[in-house]
Amino acid sequence: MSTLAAFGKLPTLNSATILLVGTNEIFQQQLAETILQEKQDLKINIHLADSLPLPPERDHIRPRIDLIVFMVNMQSKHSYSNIEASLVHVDASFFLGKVCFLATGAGRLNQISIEVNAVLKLADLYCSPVLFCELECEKIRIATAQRLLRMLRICAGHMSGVSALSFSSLMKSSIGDSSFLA
Amino acid sequence: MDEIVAEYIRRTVLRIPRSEMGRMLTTWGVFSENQLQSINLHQIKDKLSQEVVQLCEENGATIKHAANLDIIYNYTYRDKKVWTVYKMTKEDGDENVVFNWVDFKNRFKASLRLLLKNVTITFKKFEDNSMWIRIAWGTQFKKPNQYKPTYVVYHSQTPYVFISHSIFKNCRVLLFQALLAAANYSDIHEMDLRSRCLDSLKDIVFKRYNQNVETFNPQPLQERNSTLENVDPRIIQEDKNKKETIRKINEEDFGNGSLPKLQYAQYKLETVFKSKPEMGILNDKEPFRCLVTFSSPHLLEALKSLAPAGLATAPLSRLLTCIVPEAKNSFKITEKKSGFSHGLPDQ
Amino acid sequence: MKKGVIAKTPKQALTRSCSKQTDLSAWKASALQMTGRRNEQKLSKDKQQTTSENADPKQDSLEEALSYLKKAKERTPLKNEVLQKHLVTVEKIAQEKGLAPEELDFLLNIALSGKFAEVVSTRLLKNLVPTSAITADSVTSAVSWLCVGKCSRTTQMLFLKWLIAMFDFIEQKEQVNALYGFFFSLLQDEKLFPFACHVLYLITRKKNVKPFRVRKLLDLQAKMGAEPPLQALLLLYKNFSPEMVSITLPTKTKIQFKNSENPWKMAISNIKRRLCGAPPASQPSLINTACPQTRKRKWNNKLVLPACSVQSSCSAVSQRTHHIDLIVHSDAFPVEQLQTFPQLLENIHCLELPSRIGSVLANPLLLHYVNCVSDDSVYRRMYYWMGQTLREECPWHKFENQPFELEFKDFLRKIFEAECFLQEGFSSCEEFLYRSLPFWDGYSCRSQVLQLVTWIPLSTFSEMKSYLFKPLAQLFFTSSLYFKCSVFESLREMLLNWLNWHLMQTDTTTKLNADLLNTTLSGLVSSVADLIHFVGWLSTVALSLENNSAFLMHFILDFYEIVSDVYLKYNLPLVVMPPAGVFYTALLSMDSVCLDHLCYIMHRYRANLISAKQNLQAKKTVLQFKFSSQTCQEYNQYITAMVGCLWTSNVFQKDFHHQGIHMDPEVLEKTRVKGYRKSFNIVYHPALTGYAMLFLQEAQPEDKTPNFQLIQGRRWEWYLEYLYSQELRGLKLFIESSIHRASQRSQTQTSK
Repeated sequence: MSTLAAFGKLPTLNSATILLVGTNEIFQQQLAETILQEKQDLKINIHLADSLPLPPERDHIRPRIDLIVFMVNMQSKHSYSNIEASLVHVDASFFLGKVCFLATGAGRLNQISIEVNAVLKLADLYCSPVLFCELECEKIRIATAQRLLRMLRICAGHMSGVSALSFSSLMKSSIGDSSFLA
Repeated sequence: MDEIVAEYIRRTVLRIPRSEMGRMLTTWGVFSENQLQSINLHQIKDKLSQEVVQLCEENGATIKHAANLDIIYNYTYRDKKVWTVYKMTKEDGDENVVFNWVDFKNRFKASLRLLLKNVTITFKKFEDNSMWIRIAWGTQFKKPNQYKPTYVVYHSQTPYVFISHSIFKNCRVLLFQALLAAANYSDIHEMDLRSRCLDSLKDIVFKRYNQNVETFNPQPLQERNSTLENVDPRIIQEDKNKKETIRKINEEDFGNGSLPKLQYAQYKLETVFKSKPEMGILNDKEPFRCLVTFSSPHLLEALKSLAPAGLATAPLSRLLTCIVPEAKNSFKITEKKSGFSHGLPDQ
Repeated sequence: MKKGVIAKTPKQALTRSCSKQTDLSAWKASALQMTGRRNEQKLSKDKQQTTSENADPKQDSLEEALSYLKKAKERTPLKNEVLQKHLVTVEKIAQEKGLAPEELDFLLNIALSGKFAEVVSTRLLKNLVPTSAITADSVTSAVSWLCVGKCSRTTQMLFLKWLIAMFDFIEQKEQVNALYGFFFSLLQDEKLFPFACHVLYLITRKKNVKPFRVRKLLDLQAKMGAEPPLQALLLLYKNFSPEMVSITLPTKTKIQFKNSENPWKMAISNIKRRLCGAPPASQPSLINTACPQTRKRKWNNKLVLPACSVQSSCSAVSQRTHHIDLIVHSDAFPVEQLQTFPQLLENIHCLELPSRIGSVLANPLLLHYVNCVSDDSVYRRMYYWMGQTLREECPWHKFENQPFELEFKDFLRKIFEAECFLQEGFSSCEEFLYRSLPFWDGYSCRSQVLQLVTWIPLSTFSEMKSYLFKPLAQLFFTSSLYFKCSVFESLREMLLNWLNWHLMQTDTTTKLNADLLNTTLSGLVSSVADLIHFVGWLSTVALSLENNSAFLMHFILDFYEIVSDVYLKYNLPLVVMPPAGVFYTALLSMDSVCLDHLCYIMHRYRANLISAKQNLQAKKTVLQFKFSSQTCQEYNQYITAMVGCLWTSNVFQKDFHHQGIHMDPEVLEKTRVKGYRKSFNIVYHPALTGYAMLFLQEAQPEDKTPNFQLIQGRRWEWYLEYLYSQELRGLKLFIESSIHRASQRSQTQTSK
């Protein structure tokens, strides 16, 4: 079983790579396009996959992945279990700030088939933040793309003074009660 | 012309949409060219229907004509009814008789009239080589009820009959007898295939859908690949191969052309609930009865897009893909058929 | 019961109807505020026209018809030609011009008395089109006819339909409300039930909502199932007093009363059009404003005063008598007549809030009222209604609301304005924010949501932290600079609101409950302190995320400007210093405005600390002061660093803050920067070198290469004056207060 390693490869100069994992091809594609439309001073690579592990035959040409975004569709149990199964194939070092969950469809509370708590728990289990958004709406998609890009820049080490690990400790939903008082 | 006929014609005319009115009346063929031209199609429908009735009165239209108009209407709007497919079978050794529409009609009428006097039978043949039979049923003492007729669609030389139901059980038996006698078959049974779309049903039973075109014509595959490469080079599809296999599997299951239109697929489960013994629920051998219905305005298209949309894993269960090849959309799943015992995907 | 109205001379009737038509136009003008002066002129012109029209013989024929109907024998056969003729006359005139109140009253009585056959009654009822108004007396007498049961069920039903359609035209609605019990009893009848529901829906006031009625309605619901009209009525009851109706009602079902096929409305709008003479398209039809049904208008609908209860405004004189009437007859002043503040003062004892509690939000007078009324139920109603509306319409909770985001924004804005007006947050709004912020995408209604956050009342910080600050922080870290700035802005507003609230509290408390205050005060102080620490943490992180943006720094310093003055300005015994991440970033900023701002803030800290210390020594205040020697120490370290950085150029040696910029000389030597000793003072500070350059250019225009070393001795003084003249007031205040300049090269002297 091949796992995806966070630091197995050297970073590429002036570029960052994001991996979107999710079963909804259309949302993935749309989000990827929206991310690329944002003006950036570094080269962004986007890899799309519906599940992990990634096909090993492409390992040698794949750049280092800086951020994995797991897209959970709250309306599909299949999508949730798929993500759950994929998470196993991610190296533990990724969870030091280089993973984030994107929950879509939470805006239709009467139609969701996964409990919100389940997603929050999953994210907590893997020490990663959850973003909620509705990707159908273009404006929200843009806002989400911008948020992901900010995270990506940090994860790829393009933000001086902030590391992925420190950022994830900020984002983690279980901040100790007085961590910021120190 | 009696009042029933007049009223029936009037109501039928009221049902016809204005845009179709001219065409249908022409097809009907009851009126002369001059009469057709004299009808003002742009007046209030109520008036229009009365005008039509008046002209019919002049022409001495009968219930036959009225029924004809009804068939024309229902032929155009055949998707408004639910059609059930029946298959007739011959016993071994029955030699093929040369088919003849006149004989067919005569035998059909004779067989039906033999048992039931009060019945209106109307035949009409259309360009697509289908014979439409409209039967308005009465009883021993009652005149035929023109408002609840049965429509039967039959293609010569085929064992299939499409029936739009609105009849009582005993009438159905009579109808089957008449059909068997007329078409020279010995038995008839329901195929568990129902849809609103008559043409799709025909496609399915006559095997006209293009299921395996791909094997002869690999062209579209390459075209698709080139469109995939068209996207931004910065977006990399990691599981292109996997997607391709999914697509291939899908294509094997559903073909790559348009699919017949079905509205539902029904699975009656009568399987024993299997669980670990320690769970201790439903461990007796009583079958676990449940009915699963998948419904959609275009069911097969919906099933076909399940895997690409990421809502199910490919390949889909045989149960979902066998609808067209089996020509069936209601299934009964019992314990014995082990091939059908695997679970259904989540939806 | 029957009144002989027609016994008047034609002339009387004529003047009467004239004046009524004036009323109509006036009413229309006020009801639709958009009709400007222009239209009024037009109306008066039209009025003249109609007056002249009235003189034509048709009026006489109506008189004739009415008198015939009065005198005709009971049960005149239908085919009677004279009767038919007169009926046609009535129909024609009614449809063309409408009927005056007296005529209406008369015909209504005829129709309901069952004098003629049912067909005639129906025909008459269908033609009861008013020109101006319907008196409540007519309704009362009509109801009394229903009581004696002279007319059939169908006629009764038609009457109810008519009443619903004409509700806007009825004057003195109080009187109709007095018949509440009667209409309520009609609910028993299965056929009349939906219409009775609708009538009740229109006339229900708070005082009508009684436990026994609620019980009856619930019984009916159990019996008949969830009929939409009944549900609507129950919902209205629940709106009025949520505590009485404990069942949950489906809120999403549109409150739909079938009001299709309404011949009267058509007739009325036709007459209106004729009277106003405006083309139908440009004139917003009255009927439309009365019952907006489309979803688009739902919002306006919720927030405007219920239009259906707007009383037709009579002329000024009649209005006065009207008021007296009301005061005599009932104890409620109709809110929709409330126009001015004096009116509010006069009627404050007998004001009753409308059934649509939401309309209060948009009405400043009613907000005044809500503010001073001590009735708990108002708050409960508001809480219930607002909570529900927010839940139902929130676009990121219910995706189908997405197209109505603009309306929701507007709604949030209205809530915010009302909160600003009341100087208080709504608890349902707070709950909504707590519940929905974790799912917020940070985009929809951004500024409105952040505005609403400012009015979240003070509560224990740990509670707020998990519900409010945690989700907000998550969004904050991943969002743009502008989002970060607006979060700081709203946190600043929130702090201000808390402090103002505290100020109000201390103003109003007497010595008796000072003890009580003391205990709550410690809670308040710790909550405020927690908020300040939270913002400190947030700002440190934000500055490093945003590359020490000066823009962001402004917002942070704005926040600390308030923090520094908490003791003196807001009388809260609390001094919290900014974290080193903020202080040093501002101190070493390239932006002179930031530096100046920081100087001002440090100056205020000094003033606060000095006064606190004095008070502590004088034991003036018994309150436990929430600052420790640590705060003083931190302040001293900061001030040392600042003086070293701006004045004595020895920051690298003298800075003793553990996160400061103290550096060993050996390290500094290694940097090979010449004259590092002088790298930081008012001349060399990166934010101020620009000023130094300009100063030198002004002082010695002939020198091409500015020599900063020249700024010494007297020039140093001049340069300082120059800086002060450049609007660097914070710097001036800071240097004047914190630096003792006894000798030329002064000894630093901090406040403690």
